[in-house]
Amino acid sequence: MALLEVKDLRVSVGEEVIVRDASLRVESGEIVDLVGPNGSGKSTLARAIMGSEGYEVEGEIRFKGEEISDLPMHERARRGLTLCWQEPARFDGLTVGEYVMAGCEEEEWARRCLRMVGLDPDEYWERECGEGLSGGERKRVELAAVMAMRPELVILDEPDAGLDMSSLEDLARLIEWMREQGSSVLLITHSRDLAEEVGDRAYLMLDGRIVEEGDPEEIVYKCRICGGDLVCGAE
Amino acid sequence: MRGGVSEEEVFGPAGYHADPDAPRVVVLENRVVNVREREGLVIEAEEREDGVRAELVVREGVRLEEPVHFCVGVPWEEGVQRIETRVVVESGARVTLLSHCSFPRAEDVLHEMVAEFVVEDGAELEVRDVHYHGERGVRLRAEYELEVGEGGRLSSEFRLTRGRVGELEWVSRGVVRREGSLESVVRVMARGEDVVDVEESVRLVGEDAGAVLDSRSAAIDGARVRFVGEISGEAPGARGHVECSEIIRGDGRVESVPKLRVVDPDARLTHEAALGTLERREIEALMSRGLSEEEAVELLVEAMLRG
Ligand SMILES: Nc1ncnc2c1ncn2[C@@H]1O[C@H](COP(=O)(O)OP(=O)(O)OP(=O)(O)O)[C@@H](O)[C@H]1O
Ligand SMILES: [Mg+2]
Repeated sequence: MALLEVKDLRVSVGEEVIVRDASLRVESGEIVDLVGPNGSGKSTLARAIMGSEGYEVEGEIRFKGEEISDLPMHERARRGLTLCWQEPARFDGLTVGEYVMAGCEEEEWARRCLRMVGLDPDEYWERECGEGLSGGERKRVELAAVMAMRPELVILDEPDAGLDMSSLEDLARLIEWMREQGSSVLLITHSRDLAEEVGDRAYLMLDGRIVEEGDPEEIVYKCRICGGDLVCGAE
Repeated sequence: MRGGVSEEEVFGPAGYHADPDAPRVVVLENRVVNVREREGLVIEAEEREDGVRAELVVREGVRLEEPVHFCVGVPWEEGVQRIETRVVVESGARVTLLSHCSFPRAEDVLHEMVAEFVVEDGAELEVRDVHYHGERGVRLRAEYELEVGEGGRLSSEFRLTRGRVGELEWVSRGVVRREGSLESVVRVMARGEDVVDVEESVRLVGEDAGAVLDSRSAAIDGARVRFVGEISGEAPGARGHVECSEIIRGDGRVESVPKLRVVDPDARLTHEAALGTLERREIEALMSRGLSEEEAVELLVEAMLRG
């Protein structure tokens, strides 16, 4: 049984269909890439799997064999699924410590997760998420918060956006470390290096559809032929 | 059930139990259960049929470093409690008052507070007032008379951000003399059936007197909040500022009215108002970590009301 199995998913907002005929699966222990040009529907698919409000969803989403399409988002999270959001919000007034502890019960572990993303917990724990953090720091905090939860499956939506080349290597190590800790990963990225380095398998998304499945190298190549904007290094 | 409720149970979060010697007045329903004075701090408390009258005086020039706890509560489901209190900080003295009002089991409790704070010339009073009204809320009527003498300083902070409010009716009137200052911070989270009505007014009657009224509140799921902050500048150089910000969620209703009255042409009064809603993606980010929508909203609102 696959950890995540999405079948013939159709996601629409009002009259507009954004994702159609999308099928994919992630096995336990796998890191799976999801690549595709800007606007092809990757984030929409990710948010629909997580259960974001405002999308009309048809088709199947099975997590550990259970159909979760009708569950509210927090129930999906409590079953071990989470999303690392492409653009973290500001969370005015909330401290970094509070944010990473939202899905976690052990402070020591949460602090360790901050260290893993390169933030010294002693320095950051009491800092405010809103005004106290730069965009890049916010992104790291989001990654730490996701890991702190010890999810069984995490969807990473462009964790590399806004990171430089050397952090990209750290990010690849971090994703491998997540797997060692027991998390499987669905990785949405525009970074060719990252997709090829950590992915076991890959899917290509074009114009709202998942059109190919294969080796990361092959899928990355096809994505570029199809006008995909994969870049070397990080975006 | 009227037996066996301990002070700890009612005032647990107050924290003064950690220091058994901390200066305090503790009132449970209409009994004064605990009084501890200090050199230069005189406390007189008198029990009445439906409440307590307490007077705290900090003697001239006495500067108390440790805070004085003033705890009132009703440990039962229902009851009436009337508290009359007068706090006098004599010239040049200073004190911090930590006030805890706790009604953890309230179902039908009426709490009435009539308070008078007198800050004499050059004195300082800091009041931090934290309320907990249980999960059903209480009816709270509070009336404050505040008087700040020349060069005196009064700063107060009222917080009711945990549990429910119930019905809150709060009126405070202040007078500030030459070079004195008054600052009032109010933070309230109201949900469901809660009704909050706060009216604060301050008269700046002396030269260069100052006042800041700063309120933040959240009205969630049908709650109603009304805040009126009024400052009147009646002397040259008087400075006043009224700030209100509100968060609305669900069909909460908020009305906030800053009122500025410039009586003396050399007074300067300003106000600022902000109305906000929570961002859906902030709520969802927390939900994707396993918090229910309600828990997420509570965490975000508490964070916003903290400052
Ligand atoms: N709530 C919405 N309402 C209407 N259109 C939307 C909504 N969300 C997304 N879209 C549209 O759906 C398409 C897919 O957007 P999506 O963000 O999923 O793409 P993406 O593959 O994640 O792109 P990127 O690589 O730039 O992050 C876009 O054309 C976008 O404008
Ligand atoms: Mg996207």
